[in-house]
Amino acid sequence: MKTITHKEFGVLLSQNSYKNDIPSSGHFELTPLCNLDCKMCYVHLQDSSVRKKMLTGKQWISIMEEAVNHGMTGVLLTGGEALTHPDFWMIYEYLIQKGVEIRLKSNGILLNKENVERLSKYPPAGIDISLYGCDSESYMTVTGKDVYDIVSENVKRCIDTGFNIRLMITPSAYMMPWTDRVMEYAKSFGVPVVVNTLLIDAYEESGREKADFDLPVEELLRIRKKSNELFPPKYMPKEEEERLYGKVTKRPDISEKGLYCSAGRTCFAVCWDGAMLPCLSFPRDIICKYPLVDGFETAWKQINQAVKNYEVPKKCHSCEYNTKCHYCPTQHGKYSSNNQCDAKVCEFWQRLYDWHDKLKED
Amino acid sequence: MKIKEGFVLRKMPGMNMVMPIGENIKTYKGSVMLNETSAFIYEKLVEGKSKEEAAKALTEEYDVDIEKAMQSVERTCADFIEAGIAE
Ligand code: SF4
Ligand code: SF4
Ligand code: SF4
Repeated sequence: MKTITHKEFGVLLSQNSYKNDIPSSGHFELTPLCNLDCKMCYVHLQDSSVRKKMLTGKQWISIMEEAVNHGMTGVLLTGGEALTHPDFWMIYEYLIQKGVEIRLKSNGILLNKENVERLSKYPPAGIDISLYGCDSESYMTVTGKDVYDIVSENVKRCIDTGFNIRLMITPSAYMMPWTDRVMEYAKSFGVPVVVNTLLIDAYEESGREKADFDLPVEELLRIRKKSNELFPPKYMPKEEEERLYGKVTKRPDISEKGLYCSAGRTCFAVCWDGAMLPCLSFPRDIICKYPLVDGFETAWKQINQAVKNYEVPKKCHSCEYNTKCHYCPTQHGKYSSNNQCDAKVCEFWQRLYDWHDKLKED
Repeated sequence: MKIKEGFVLRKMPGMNMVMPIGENIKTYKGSVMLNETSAFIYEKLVEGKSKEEAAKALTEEYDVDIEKAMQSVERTCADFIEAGIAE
């Protein structure tokens, strides 16, 4: 018997789950509704009929219960704005009583005194707070509401409470005039910051088109370089890496079939309408199952098989970047249903890897 | 000798873990990894069985005599106490 640290547990768990096809991590998009109206939001749906299709707390718990019985030990609760789900607390407290580690994703508006006090009774393992601006004007432009002061105050409250906070930034055409300032503002809080550079396709029903808010590759690369400057990536010391992962750290060579990431291998997502996917935003025409209809086990097994059988594009097999670049169906969006690449995504990664290599040489 | 409140045993293929739950997540950092035998003993203790009963159950489940089973239970219980999951 041995007591292990949280980090060791994470590594062991993911290795064991990968080997045994255990769905150890679940991402739950509790609601597509939100108290903001960001112009680039891929999920936020407004149609009032959505409310009728949304899962109740009891339905969420029945899926989660089966997931726990199949080995789920950690979840991400997201949305829309997860905290607006009418049964949020029922779901949260159920998971805590089951010993499931919770990460919460929020835009920060509802992380007020009352909710933070309630959360601190059973603290989540972490909270990812999205930042959409660095002042009232940028918040108005991107999200349609001036909630800058509220979010700033709530971020500070969460940090002071001792929560493990990460700030998330998703640059888009709407944020463009302020992107660098938003990153600098995020840095001022002194907590980890994640800058997502690639945007994903919007839900069809959202009435939004990625093309309307996507950024040119040049700008994406500039943002990536700036974020690397502001938030230098921390690499694990070699000895620590070997101790945790063993000596063989090289990932498998590209093969005829199968994805290498955690999607559908150790991780799954359930969207607001009850659809199970290998990860959130994974293209539904590749695979999509309904655990409330088919049962969790059947849905998981089919998702797991689908990612193991997925054929990465032929182009990747001869691509000189294929030892560094992992084909991600979510990023390649609609192209991935036909096992193809989105040329723009390839260009972004190829140029990014060239830049990394050059940095190493310098 | 009993297992403390605020923990749950999670069993999955290849891995058995004792994890904190409820308010205990604030105070107990980390997880305890159990092998098959310790997980078996843990479950018996949670059911309210004594050490002797747990050892007897071990002999029924595994090919082991009562003396060895009792030694194993004693050793495992000492480990549980050291890890802070039993008292
Ligand atoms: S806060 Fe997030 S979920 Fe809400 S509208 Fe903005 S991007 Fe969408
Ligand atoms: S850059 Fe494009 S073609 Fe090359 S490995 Fe990555 S996804 Fe495949
Ligand atoms: S987003 Fe892409 S790389 Fe990440 S888990 Fe999903 S499919 Fe894999």
